[in-house]
Formats: sequence, structure tokens, C-alpha cells
Amino acid sequence: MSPMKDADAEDPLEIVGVVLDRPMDADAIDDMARTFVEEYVLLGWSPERILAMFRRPYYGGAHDAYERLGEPRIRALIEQTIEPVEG
Amino acid sequence: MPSVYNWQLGRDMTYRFDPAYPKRQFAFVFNINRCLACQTCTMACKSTWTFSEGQEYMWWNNVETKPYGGYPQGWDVKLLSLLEQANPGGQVWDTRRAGKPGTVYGEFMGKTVFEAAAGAGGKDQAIGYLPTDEEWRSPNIHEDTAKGPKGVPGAYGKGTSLPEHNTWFFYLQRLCNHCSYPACLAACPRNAIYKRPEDGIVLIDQARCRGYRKCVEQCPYKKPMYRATTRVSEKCIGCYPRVEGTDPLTEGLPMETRCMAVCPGKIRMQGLVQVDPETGDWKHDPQNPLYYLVKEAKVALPLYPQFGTQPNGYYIPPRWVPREFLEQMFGPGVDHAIEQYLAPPRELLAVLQLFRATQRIIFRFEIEEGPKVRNVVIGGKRWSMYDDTVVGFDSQGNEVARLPVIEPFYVRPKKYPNGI
Repeated sequence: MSPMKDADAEDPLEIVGVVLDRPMDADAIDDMARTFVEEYVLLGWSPERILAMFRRPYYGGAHDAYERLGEPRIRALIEQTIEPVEG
Repeated sequence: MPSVYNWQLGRDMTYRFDPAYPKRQFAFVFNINRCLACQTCTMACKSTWTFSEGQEYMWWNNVETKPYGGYPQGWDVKLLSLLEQANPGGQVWDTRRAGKPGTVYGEFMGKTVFEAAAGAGGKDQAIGYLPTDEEWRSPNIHEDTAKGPKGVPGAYGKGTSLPEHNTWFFYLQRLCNHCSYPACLAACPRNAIYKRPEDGIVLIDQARCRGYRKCVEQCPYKKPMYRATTRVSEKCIGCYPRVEGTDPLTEGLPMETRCMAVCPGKIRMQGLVQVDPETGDWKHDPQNPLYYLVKEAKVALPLYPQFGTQPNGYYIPPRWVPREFLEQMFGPGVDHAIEQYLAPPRELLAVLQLFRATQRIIFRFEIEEGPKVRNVVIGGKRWSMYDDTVVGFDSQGNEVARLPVIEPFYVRPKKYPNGI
């Protein structure tokens, strides 16, 4: 028998989820993807590593944005955020 | 009624007791931008301190989803409403004095929970309310966790529909703020609550407490909780055995609390700051990472400073949330904090790397300068990133953390993708 019991809607400590009652708009996804890029830049990640993260389905939120916006847009967001050092 | 100085409000305020300050103060900084609401902190606390009979509903540490979530439900909206009723239209800040001696964010012109109670003329020390049993339930209500039938991907069942709004939310991590002027302590008719002189941790004396629940009613953050099986109230104890250093793991040196030490998102940093015995303000100590984040960079802000308890939990606000909402929650320092976070000074970028670098409490940091590695543009601002190295030291001056800004990257071999 599983140590986890089945969910019970009458249990007051049961997780209560949220279903947004309208689809997320494209601007919001773009903002979210930009925020992902900026946070990882602040962590010192390289452009290549950030793009690789978006490509991997294991990173659910980032990959969802990648699929919806396409790789060219993700690349553009990264390029807008990180500039190479000249010389 | 005695008068005390509240540096977060930039002014004196009334409080039940004369000023008395600890030598050091338990404090923490959370980076909201990086929290994913995994609730690992919540479970670490639960499995350590509140797993017994009568504690089922207690979550000393919780993470709630704003704007709609709350534990207990609606706690902050109710408090803000009570204060607004007590002082209609008057809960405002005068930011003209921001940064002047004795102030950081300006001067709060409204009423604190103590002043609102005094104005009401009752016996209570602080304005408040007792949450109902229903409000203590569903601690992560409105969290964005989909709920649906087992094994059916994408089929979401009966969730809670939110009123239509622009799609933004964020996670707010909460525990007792171990306030400098605790409302719970002021409220207790038995004087069963005390603030420890060595570290400022606020505790309920379980032997003196008789469960009158005045602390539950008057703590604006709703962090004391009543235990029906013992008929006394309980609250977060700041994992004081760890902070004292009695855990053998650190060989007698101060250690972060359970909720801080487990954070996988590395959003938490906790420590002890030195307190000026005269003013209660933090002693100038710019190499202490908490002091640096709160007082120097001013990137981390107190939660609802207008309540007046001078809470010791600080938050780096989420940059995507409407500013009016954030200003109500964190005070007038929001614009500056977000500006600092998105275009961080060299020192700040390095200090941010210290979050969750070690279980030991870091008392001091140093920065070793490295080469310039790239230019970054965030929010239209261009700044240079340097691969500096931040070094953290424990209470004895021993090096306990060393991290570069450019994080080292290790690839696991394909044969062992989940190996360590």
C-alpha cells in the first residue's frame, strides 16, 4: 500500500490549486521569458548555457516559453541582455 | 506610554515597554524573485517542530501566493483594512527625509498597530483580530498548483477561479519576524513572551502561557498559534539551538535555521546583526552581508513596515509586480530596491552569491576583484559584470564560503545523469 493517501476534497489541509480563467497572453509569456533570462544572467550564466536551459524540457516554465515563442525570440532576448566584452 | 525609536518608520512611536535591545538581532533576507514555492522550507520546519498532535494546522514557516493567497487567509488585507478604518486616508509616507540621519525610507505619517489601538481607547496593545478556524485552513490556498484527476495530463479538475486580472503573482515566504517591537510580546497579559538579549529571538514561555490568545490576536503577521491539546500558544523559535551553535555539525558555531538551510532556490540568507544598545538601530557593519543588503545597498525591504513592529525579515521585491502593490507591502523603498537589483553594483552582485552558500551563519564578507566578463542590459540600463569572488567568514573569522560571480558549471556524466 502506498504511504500516500488519495486526495480528499473534504480535507481542510488539502492543496487548493488555481485555474486561471483565461489563457496567458503572449506579452506575459514574453515578459516571463525575459525575466528568466535576466535572473540567470545575474547568476553569471553564459548565453549558451541559458539557451541550453530553455531547450531542455526538464525546465518546465522556461521550456514552455521556448515552445510558445520559438528559439529565435529566446535568442533575441538573450542577445538583448548580454553583450560581449570587446577586445 | 513609553516612546521608542523605529528606524524603519523614521520616527518615535509608542510601545508598551521602555526601550531594551538585544546585543545581536536574528534577521533574514529573502529574494522573492527566485522563489518557486517548492515549500521545502515549509516542510523542513514542519518536520522539525510542528509534527505532533494539536499542531496539525500550524505552519510556522509558510509560502503563500500573492495577491490572493494567505495563511491565515486574508491576514494582511484584514490588517490593512483595520488600519485604514482607524486612520482613513492617513496611512502615508513622507519620503522627503529619506536617507537623512535616523531614517532610511522616509517618515511614516500614519498609525502603527499600537497607535491605532491607543486611538481606539480599548485595553488592547495592538489593533488586530483572531482568525477563525476556517481561515487557518488550506495554508497554500490559491497557489498555482494544478489539481486534477490522477494520471490524466492536462485535465485540471475543480480549482478556484480567480477574478480576472493581469496575470501576475508572486510567492511570499513567511515566518515570525522576531520583531524589535513585537506586538505579541506587548499583547501578552501574562508577560509570557520575551525577546532574548543575546540574539533577539522572540519566544513564548510555555510554562507561563495560559492560552489567552492575545498574541494570536495582536501579532499583525499572525505568527503565534494556539495549540488546543496543550492549551497554550506556540510560535517559531528561530531554531535557536542552531543559532546558538549547539548542533554538533558546526562544532559550536552559529548555524542557519532549518527553513533557511534547506532552500533549493538559494533565495534565503539568515544571520545575526549587531544592535546599537542606545537606539536599537543596527550598528554600522557594512561587511556583514545582511547589513550590506538592508542598509547599504537597500535592496531588501521590511514586510509591512507600517505595522510598526520593526520586523527583522527583509525581502528583495519581485520586479514584475505593480509598484503600488509592492509599495503597500514593503514601503517606499521599492523603486530603489528594484533598480539596485536589476543593475547591481559590483559588490551587490557578489554578495547575492552568498545566499545558501553554507549552513553556518556568515558574519562578514570580503570581495576579491576579478576580470570584467560581459556587459549586461536589463531594463534599459547597461552595466558591466565582473567575475569577482565573494568570501564569507563565520563568527570566529574562519572562511566558510568562497564563490565566484560566474558560477562554476559541472556536467554529470551521461552514465549517471542523477548521480552526485
